Amino acid sequence: MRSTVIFTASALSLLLIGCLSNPLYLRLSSNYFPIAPSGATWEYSIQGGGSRIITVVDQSIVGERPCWRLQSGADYSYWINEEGKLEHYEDHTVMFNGYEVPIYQAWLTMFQWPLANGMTTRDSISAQAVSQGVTLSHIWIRDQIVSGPEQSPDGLWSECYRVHQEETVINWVQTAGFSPETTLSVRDIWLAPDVGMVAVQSADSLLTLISFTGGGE
Amino acid sequence: MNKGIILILAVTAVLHAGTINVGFDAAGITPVGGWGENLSSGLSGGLYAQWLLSQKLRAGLGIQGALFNDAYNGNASFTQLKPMATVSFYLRPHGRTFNPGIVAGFGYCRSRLSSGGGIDPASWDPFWSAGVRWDFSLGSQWRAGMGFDLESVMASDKTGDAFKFVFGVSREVQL
Repeated sequence: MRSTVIFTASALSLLLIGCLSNPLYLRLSSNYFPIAPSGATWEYSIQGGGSRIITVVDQSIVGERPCWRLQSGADYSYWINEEGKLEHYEDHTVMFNGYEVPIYQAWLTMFQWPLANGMTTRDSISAQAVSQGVTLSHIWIRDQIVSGPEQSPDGLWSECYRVHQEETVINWVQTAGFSPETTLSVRDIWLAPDVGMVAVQSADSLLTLISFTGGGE
Repeated sequence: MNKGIILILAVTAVLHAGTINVGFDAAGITPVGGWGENLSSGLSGGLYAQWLLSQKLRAGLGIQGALFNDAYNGNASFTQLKPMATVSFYLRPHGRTFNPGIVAGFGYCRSRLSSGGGIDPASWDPFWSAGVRWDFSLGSQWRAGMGFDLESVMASDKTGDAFKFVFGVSREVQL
């Protein structure tokens, strides 16, 4: 009788433990924002019509660092995914009195790995430049919180992390008649293992991945 | 299910034995495969009690813990807790300087990731380990052993494999 009770309790315990399993090692092993190799292509549909294609073009050197160059339409962006973080090269300029004024060029951390539910990060930049005797100041603050794992909004991708981003930008032309202009933008990004961005939702748009090609060296 | 039966058999067998071998070990543990890409090598420690089923064969229970930190300058950490049944076989159980043996463990592993102030849902998965030991006497019924283990957490979709260098100390105790 006693051994039966022990056996039954052990079997139930094992079944219960089995229910608590989740693909944690899969998530740890996966690349949630692959930016290589050349040829990798993501095609997104835009809610309301249209599409957007992002392609890994080649390797390049920007800011004295080797990186991957991605193309979307006529625009290029530069990315590094190493040493536990994904970095994006930002070349920020503003138009002032008909001139393009460079404010800053820097590698900014986009995500830190590994992602985990409840992870929070804050990144910020404060920069200024002088053009035609006027100081142009720029403050950028981004707060991120990660949730998941969960399915993508279209239900096609599992074990996704959802990154909620809130960006605050304060631009100020420091001369008479101008006051600081503050803009706040909010978006959610779903990242799927070994695929990357599968959906991006902001106040006025929704991008959904419709095809992904891994590419080849 | 099989591991549960092994566990129960081991407990039943050892309750009838008169001598147990209790010990602890410490190890350096290195992830094998992509799951450890953002994690550093870790430290592992364990406690175990084994009953001497014969002079050469031992079986018992143990618990191990392991901690991995961020491989870079982040603040991720990964922990494993492994309750398990253990079996070991030694060729020269009373050899003073050379008692080679093999060890194995079966159980469950609780894995937990924290990163950037967030915590992923913990996972319980079947786990096994196997390794070799060079056991030797420290005198006064104390013995030490060193060796290495290969282990694997058989998680959903992907296994979490690791390699360990182990050093342990043990002592026989008469019940």
